Amino acid sequence: MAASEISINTADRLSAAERRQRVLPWIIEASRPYCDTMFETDEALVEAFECWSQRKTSELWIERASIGFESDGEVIGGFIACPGGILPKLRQVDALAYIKSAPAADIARRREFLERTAKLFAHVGPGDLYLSRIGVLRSHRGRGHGRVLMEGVIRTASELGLPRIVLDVSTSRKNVILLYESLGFQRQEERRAEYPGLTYISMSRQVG
Amino acid sequence: MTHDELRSIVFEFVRERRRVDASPQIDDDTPLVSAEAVDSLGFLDLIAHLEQQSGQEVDLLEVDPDELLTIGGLARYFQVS
Repeated sequence: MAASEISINTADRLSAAERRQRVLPWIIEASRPYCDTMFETDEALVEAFECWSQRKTSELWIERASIGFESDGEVIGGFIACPGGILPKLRQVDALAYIKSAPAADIARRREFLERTAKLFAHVGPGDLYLSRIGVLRSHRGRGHGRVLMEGVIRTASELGLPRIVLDVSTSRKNVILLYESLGFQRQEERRAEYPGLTYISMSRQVG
Repeated sequence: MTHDELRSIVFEFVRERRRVDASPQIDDDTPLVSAEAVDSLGFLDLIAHLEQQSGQEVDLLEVDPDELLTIGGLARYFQVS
């Protein structure tokens, strides 16, 4: 289906099963490679993200997500954007959940992970909209949906009256960086965490 | 645990961790993390410490972030008088 026929809406109409099958996968995919070293196993990652996505106080709260739908209701992907004013609090509660849910043997490693990656992402101010996650389901890629979703992000910032959009992207995702640049985003600071070996670049765009 | 005891526990925690007396700069509504009384990891330890002291576990499904990040909020959360 052509990208122009995609509508962006909330997750309200989706059942719990659809959320698990059609929303969680792109949230997880959009969290890579950061989340790959965050958890000990894929099962722990999926379990944690599923739990966080149901919690209002999480950066990953699914009700805050904007979902891209085809005209027949099929989900193609979506994005989660958070006003900068609430983001630090949400991250703090997620960090608490991350440590509290750790098996005893993994607590020290998880703490070290948080410590080593604390400076990996952009500083976000109260006047910013932070693009926390954006993704297109694998089965729907290559059709320009990413651009349509990004235009939705820009519209969201405008509707919320937030003058700047900030995002972080792994430097390994070169095509995505080019897409962001084509939409007016500019590269800002690049940050590296030697452990676990991640490099992210922050990008931002003013909203006119 | 009373409100004053909770305040004392928080300030004692900050003193031990940061080796500074944070009490003059922090009132009930000062966000503890952004005031740099505790860093992000210190915040996790503070919550664990308060859970231990109060015998009450933080329910992440119910919690309002504002209630964890200030002394006033913590006092409300742990329902101290």
